[in-house]
Amino acid sequence: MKVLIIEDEKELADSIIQYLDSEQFSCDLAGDFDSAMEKVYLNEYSCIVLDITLPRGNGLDILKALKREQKEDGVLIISARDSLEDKITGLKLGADDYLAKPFHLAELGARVAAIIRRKSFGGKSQVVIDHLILDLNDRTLKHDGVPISLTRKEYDLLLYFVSNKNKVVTKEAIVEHLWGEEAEMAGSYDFIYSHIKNLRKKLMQAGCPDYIKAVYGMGYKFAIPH
Amino acid sequence: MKLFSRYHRYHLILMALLFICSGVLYYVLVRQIVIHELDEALDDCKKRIIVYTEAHEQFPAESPIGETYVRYTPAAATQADQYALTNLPVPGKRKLHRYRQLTFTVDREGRHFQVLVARPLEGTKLMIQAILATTLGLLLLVILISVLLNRLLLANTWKPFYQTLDRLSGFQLGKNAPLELPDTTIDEFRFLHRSLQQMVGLAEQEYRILKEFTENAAHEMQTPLAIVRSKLDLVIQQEGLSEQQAQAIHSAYAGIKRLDKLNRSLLLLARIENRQYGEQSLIDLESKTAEKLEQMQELARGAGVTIHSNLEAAMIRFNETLLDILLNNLLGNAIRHNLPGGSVTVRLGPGALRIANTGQEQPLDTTHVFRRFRKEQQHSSGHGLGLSIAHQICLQSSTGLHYTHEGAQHIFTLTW
Repeated sequence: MKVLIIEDEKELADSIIQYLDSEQFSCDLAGDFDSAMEKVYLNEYSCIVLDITLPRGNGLDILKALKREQKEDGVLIISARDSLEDKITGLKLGADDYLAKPFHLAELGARVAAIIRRKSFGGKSQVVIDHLILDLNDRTLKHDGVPISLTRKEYDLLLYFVSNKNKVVTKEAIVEHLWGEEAEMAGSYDFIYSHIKNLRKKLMQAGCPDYIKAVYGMGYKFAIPH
Repeated sequence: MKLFSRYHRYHLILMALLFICSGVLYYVLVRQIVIHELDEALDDCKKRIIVYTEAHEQFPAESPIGETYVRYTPAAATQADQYALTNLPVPGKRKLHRYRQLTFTVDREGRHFQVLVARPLEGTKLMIQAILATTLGLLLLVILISVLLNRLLLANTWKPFYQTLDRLSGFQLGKNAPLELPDTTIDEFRFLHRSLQQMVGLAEQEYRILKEFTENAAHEMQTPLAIVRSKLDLVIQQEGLSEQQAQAIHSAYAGIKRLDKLNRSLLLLARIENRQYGEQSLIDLESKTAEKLEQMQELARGAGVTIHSNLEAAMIRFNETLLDILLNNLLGNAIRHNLPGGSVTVRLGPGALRIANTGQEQPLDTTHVFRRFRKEQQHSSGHGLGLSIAHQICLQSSTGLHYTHEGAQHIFTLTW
């Protein structure tokens, strides 16, 4: 699956590529408006990560061109301008999602994965990973065909981990993903510990290997043990 | 004290003084004139007596009928004429009256006689009083009319000034409403208006530049922050980080988070002030609050804080996004600035939402509580903009937000 990163900040683009590349995606980079347009016209991408402010052009014009050409590429806008109007304009023009800088790479990974799932699986909305099957419509989990009942938060948590497979994800990023704005008020992320503990327990009780590993001082990592 | 009150006070005092002085002066003057008239009459008498005495070799009779009192007494020597005021008995009555008298010496048959002619002041007293009364009455009237006219004139002339004051007090920087001052033909006021307009224009411009700067700076900072955060996200993917490295990365994350929050808050403030959240709708505050409390429940439990709520039906006209931010701020603060084992009590009724929480014993400084970057503790991870944002939201939504401290509880009350 190919992902195009349209971002003029080279350092940021490098980070994104390095993070996503090791996943199941292969990444292309376009550093300015013209090369972005060229790549968009020549190739088909599963997802395009699009920065709005570009040298010699506006990212929204690329989005318009895509829609004019009736291309099916998924588009995730990343912008330093976190304003409602920008977001609404972007989504109205046909973008699939909007992410304000500075974001966690894990969040970007989750959003890109979500867009690709929506675009490429079509009716078959399932994520299969090792022995686990996540049904995206029913929001249910099965292990070797046996359902495991999860709470809403546990399901979201698992999906987030799966989208960032083999990556260390910080507690901060998890809290922001699952609880959003009001979590910032809490001042402490300790409360996510119990959710992760419960999720791990449920998976292990169903006979799964220990997928979720705590990485000391940093966060957690979802990986399939060899 | 108002300009007019002060002016009228001085004006009245001065007028009263003027009135008293002119009354006294007038009385003295009129009396002097009357006495002068009497003196002339007495002189006349004197001449007639002398003429009569020279013609008849005897004094005219001391007539008791006329008002003029005449008395002859032998004298030892010639004396100079002397005018004086005196009290003399009224003929036929047993009381004394004021008289003006003239004593002079007449020689008859080689002998000196002192002649005393006197005329009563009594008759003129009434006249003086009448003149004085009418004059003072008129004067009083003139003063009263002048005071009234003054009031009217002043009120009229200074009207543009007071209109200007009124407009100024209603003026707020950054509201994008120009300062409109009344037209006037008075040079000084025109000058004042011109200066004010210029000043306000400049201030408005500076304010806009400052706001734009804040907004741009906040935006520009997001990209480098994104770079730093993404690099950290990559660093932690490496295996075998030491505990020290992990600790350092953790701190770096926290710093980025703070800066990000600060930036977003500054942007939010700028947007609220720019009235970018103008759209309002009628919102069911009861269900909204209940929903928020439900979301906060977990955070509160984590902080060891219990939430008590007593919600009644209440509707509010508000911008939905802003209401969300406002509730997040106030409830989040109540949980965050709490004590382990403390509580948050939320009471909602029609027209008032009261959020009380236990916390540090000292009440917050009420004069600074809504100020930007005000922090109770320097090391706290809060950025000190939360309450400032809440305040700004309420200001733009014509909703009251007050802080009180009662019985070791910090209470924020929202009224509408």
